[in-house]
Amino acid sequence: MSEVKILVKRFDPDSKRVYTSEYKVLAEDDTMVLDALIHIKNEIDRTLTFRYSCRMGICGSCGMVINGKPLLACQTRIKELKEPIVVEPLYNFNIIKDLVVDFDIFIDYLKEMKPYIIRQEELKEIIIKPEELEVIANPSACINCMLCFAACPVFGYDQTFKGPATLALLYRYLMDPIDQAEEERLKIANDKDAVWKCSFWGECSNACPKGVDPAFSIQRLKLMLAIKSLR
Amino acid sequence: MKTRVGYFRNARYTFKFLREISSFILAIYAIYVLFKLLSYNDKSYTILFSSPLQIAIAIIVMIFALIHSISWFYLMPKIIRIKINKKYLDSRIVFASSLMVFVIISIILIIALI
Repeated sequence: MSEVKILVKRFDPDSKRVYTSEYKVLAEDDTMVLDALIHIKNEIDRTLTFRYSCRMGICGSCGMVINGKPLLACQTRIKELKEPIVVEPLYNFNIIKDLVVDFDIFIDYLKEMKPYIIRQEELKEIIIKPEELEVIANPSACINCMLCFAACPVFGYDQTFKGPATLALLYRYLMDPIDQAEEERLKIANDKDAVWKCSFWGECSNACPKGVDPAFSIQRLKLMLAIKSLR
Repeated sequence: MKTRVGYFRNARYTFKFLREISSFILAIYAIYVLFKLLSYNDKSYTILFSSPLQIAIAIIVMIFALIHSISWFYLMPKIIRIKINKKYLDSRIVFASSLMVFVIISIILIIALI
C-alpha cells in the first residue's frame, strides 16, 4: 500500500469558482480511481461531488477525465497512472458541480435518433442470422457513458453535432433486421448536423470503454447515404 | 462552465488537426501546379523547382502530403474490415499493406515522370 496524490478540478455553482483540491490517499495494486474518490468523500471531504453507481463498468455513470483521458473511474487502476493523478469533469459538457456534468444535450440528441424498434407490420417469428447479429452487437454494447462525446473535438467546438454514441445507436437500429424504418433513419443520418459533421478523428472509438466503434458506424452511415444518393 | 476538448489537447490531437489543415494546403498547391503548368509551353515538372523558394515550398507540401496520407491510412482499418476464418484482420496489417501499396504506386509514378 502506498500513498498517492490526487488533484480534483472542481466547480462551485454558487460562487462560480473553479478550483483544485488536493488529496492524499492510500492505494493498493487493485485500487480504482472510484474507490479513492469514495474514500475521499467518506473520510476526507464530504463536499466532493461525483456520480457513480454499479462500480463495475456497466452503468457508465462514473465517466470523468483522468490524467487528460476520458475514462470510467471504476475501471481505472490508480497504480497504472502517473502521479499526481488529475481528475476533471468530462469535457464538452456543462458542469453542474465538481465532477458532475449535465447530460441533457445527449438525452435530447438520443431521442432524435429514435433508439427503439420501429415496425409497420406486427412482429411474428423472425430469424436473425449470426452475421446480422454481429453487426448490431457492437453498437448495442454502448452504456451511454459519454466518454466518446468528451473525446470528440468536433462536438467540443460545435455542439449542434449529434455526437458519436447517438449516431452509433442510429446505425445499430438501421442495421437491425427487425426494424422497418430505413428511410426515416437515413433521413435523420443525413441531417446537416449528423454524420456529415464528423471529420473522422476516430477519438470516439479510442475512448470507448466497451469497444464500441462509433467512428466505424458513422463512416458506414456516410457510405450508405452516398450509395443511396447515386441510385 | 465547461471545458472544451480542443484541437490541440495533446500531440495526437495536434497531428490530426494538421491532417485537416493539410487538405487545404494540398488543394492550394495543386491549383498552383495546374496554373504553373498551363502557363508554360514546356510541360516539364522542372519549372516547379526553378528557385530555392519553390523547392522549400515543395518540401513543406510534401511533408503535409505525407501527414495527410499516413493519417488517413491509419484510419483505414476503421472502415475496411476484412474477415478471414471468422476473425478480423489485424488493423496493423490493413494499415501496413495500404501504406505499402501507396509507396509502390508513388515509386511507379516517379519513375514514369522521370
